[in-house]
Amino acid sequence: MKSSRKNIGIALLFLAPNLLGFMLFTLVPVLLSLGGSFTTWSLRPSVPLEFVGFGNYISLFKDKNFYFFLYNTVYLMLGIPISIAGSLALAVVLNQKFEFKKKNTQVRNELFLAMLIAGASMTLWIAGSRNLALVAFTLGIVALLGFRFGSISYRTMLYLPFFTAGAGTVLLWSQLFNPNFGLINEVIRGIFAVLHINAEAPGWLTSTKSLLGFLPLPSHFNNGGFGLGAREAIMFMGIWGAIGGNNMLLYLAGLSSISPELYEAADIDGASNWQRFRHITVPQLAPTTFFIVVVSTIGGLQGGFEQARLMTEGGPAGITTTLSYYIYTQGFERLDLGYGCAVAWVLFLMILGITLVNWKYGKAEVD
Amino acid sequence: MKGTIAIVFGGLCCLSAVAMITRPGPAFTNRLGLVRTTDSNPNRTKESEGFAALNPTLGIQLDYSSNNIQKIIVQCSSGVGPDLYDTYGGTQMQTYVSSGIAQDVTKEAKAMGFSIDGDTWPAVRGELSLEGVQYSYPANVNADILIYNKSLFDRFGVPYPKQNITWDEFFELAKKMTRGQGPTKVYGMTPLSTGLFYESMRGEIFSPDGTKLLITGKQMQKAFQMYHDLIFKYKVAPSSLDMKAMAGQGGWGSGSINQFCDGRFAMINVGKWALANFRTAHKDQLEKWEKTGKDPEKRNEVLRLGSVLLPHHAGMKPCYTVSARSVTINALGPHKKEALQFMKFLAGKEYSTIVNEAVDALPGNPKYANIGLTEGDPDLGEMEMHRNTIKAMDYGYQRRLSPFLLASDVDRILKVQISRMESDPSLNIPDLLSDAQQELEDLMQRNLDRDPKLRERYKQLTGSDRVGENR
Repeated sequence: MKSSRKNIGIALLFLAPNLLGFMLFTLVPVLLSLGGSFTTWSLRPSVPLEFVGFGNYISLFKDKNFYFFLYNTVYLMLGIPISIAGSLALAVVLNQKFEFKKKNTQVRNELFLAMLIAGASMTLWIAGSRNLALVAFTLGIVALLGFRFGSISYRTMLYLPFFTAGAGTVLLWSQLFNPNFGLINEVIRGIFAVLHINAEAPGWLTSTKSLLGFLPLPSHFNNGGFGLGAREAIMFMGIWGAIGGNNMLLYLAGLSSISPELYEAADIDGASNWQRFRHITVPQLAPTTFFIVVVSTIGGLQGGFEQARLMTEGGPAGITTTLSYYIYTQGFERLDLGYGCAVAWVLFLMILGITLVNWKYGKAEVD
Repeated sequence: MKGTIAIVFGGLCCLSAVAMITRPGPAFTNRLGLVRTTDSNPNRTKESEGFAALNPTLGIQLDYSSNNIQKIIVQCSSGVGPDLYDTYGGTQMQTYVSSGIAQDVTKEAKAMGFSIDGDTWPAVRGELSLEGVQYSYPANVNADILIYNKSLFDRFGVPYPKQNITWDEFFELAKKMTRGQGPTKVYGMTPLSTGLFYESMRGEIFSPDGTKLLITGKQMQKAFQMYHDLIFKYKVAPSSLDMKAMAGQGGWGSGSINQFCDGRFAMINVGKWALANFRTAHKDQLEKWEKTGKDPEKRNEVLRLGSVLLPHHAGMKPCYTVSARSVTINALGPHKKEALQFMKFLAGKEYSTIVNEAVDALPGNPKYANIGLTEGDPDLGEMEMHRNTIKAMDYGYQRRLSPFLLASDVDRILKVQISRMESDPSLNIPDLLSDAQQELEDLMQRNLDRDPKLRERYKQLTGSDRVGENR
């Protein structure tokens, strides 16, 4: 008993720096923001700090912008199922062992591949398609690395977006999405030309078009109809970031824990690859999928700040302003911290509610 | 395991020691360093050196990384802000004053010779003061003028714009200068704003007492309509969304100034501070011409500039808003008294000479507007630009501010409505302005609900504490 208490004491001592940090920099500010949401807390000294009860919350529910920005936030989350499916697909592919190595011809083959890449890239560069030359060069390097190091190189490369600085990738993507000079539209225009399609490339970050074809905006706003606009651009960027990140790693870990005997039994029964995937892999990964869905939903509801701040300033026409960016504008542009806190707490309650629903019904399904 | 932990711990200790040793020391050893947040213009170092030469006990430590309104407010409010910070226009100044971080310098300014009454341009008083209280002094003062690319006008065989051009004449001219299609299109004009059209009617956002919003008025409708026609009917200037798409093109960079130098725009509304960019572009183009054989026929293709006052509405006097990048003292800072010396320096001869030599718009003190000027390259018409800028200052005015609503809120909400109009040409302008007015009135009401003094003041002026009842 004495020894157990001593162990707890030692454990707490080790945890103390982290706990203190958590309390000081997370718990206390979170509680302060809860308190602040019931007050007139402002960065304007002329506004006295007064308790207003649910005043901020009542104003919030009357605020038309809040609903529009909530809609934007939820719309951007439409990319989550695609990114989860993509992560699963990638994990299944990368779980295979790629071995291209052949002792006798390895170096010769690698040299040949390197020369092929250099030749193709230089030809495109000289022909004036510099962006396509870069694409060819990048794809070639990826192939070469795969050839050399097998699937481990792909796992590493696909995880890269996860630990690359967010601001840097946001700025990079805003260049890629440039409607006139961006790489993405250059490739799309190239494809259109080859297929003789007479259509305009998407406007991406400068367009209000949407995959649903409409926007719930006042004043009979016509968003330009069906198409790929700023929100889709942000969604694609989100899918790119999430597809090879932690989700893929979780799936890889999950796949490695599936008993091979299950697959062997299926083989004996004559199951096809698809049947193996559908009836063994997917059910066995259900707990992992459940966890990823919960975490992605939370992340999705909190997302969109970096993109709005650095790429779009919430536009065009406010269609990329998400709730997290709205919190920032209320707190630090309008100097109304109390109202900003109220938005943050409503967002928290929504996240909590959705997570509980997920937990109740999703968990039962998984079990 | 123990060994690994010990190595990691030892490594961290070593890194901490390195950090301690290499930590930058105080900027000055025998002077008091005043921290100033400003932009990263290389000229700021010259300004600091000029100040230090005149003040043996004081120095300026420049902070480029915090030159952002939100950062400045948060840092100053929490007691770690700079001593002096750059303020861009009356809108920002109002926000700083509302945040309680702008120091009242009215009395000291009169005593030390940098008062808004007599020591600066009358047109920018509103950029430096609020309800008669002075908070700032200009680091420089700017009035936009219309600068045109003579080389492009000559190539298209179109006569140059004349002085005192009206908006109608301007649109006709811009149409003649707009050529081509797609990514190589030449526009007659760089992006304009609804604000410019509104201001050239001497438009106001608020009623004289600041209690009413005038967003849905006829003048604002006309300004929005003109902007709409500019981008959708005449198609002589790109919208802000088009500009985003144009960014990233080569030449001398991506902004509209650089694209103007590159021949993508025939005319631009900008201040003479852009001369620094024009000089660089001109030098590059001249070098390129020299390297490619100095063909006399192609000499005229090198950037040549002319300038006139901005267009005005027919039958009305020219009218523009003018702006100041001013310096404000942190009201919560520890060196307020010493910081006053820097404001005094801004109004002096030495500082004005630095501004003029660097063609950084106009100095804050009109007395020294012409000191240290040089003719510059005749291709760029530098003196003509300078004279037009001074002339434009005579027509300058400041839009009225309201104590009941931040001007930054107005700008932000109008920006969203403009963006909606740019995305949807069929949008009904009165509906759009009505939405903006409603949203701004809601914000004004929220401000009144929160601030009892403000509410009382509003009630005294209107007889009610409900916004919109006195519409």
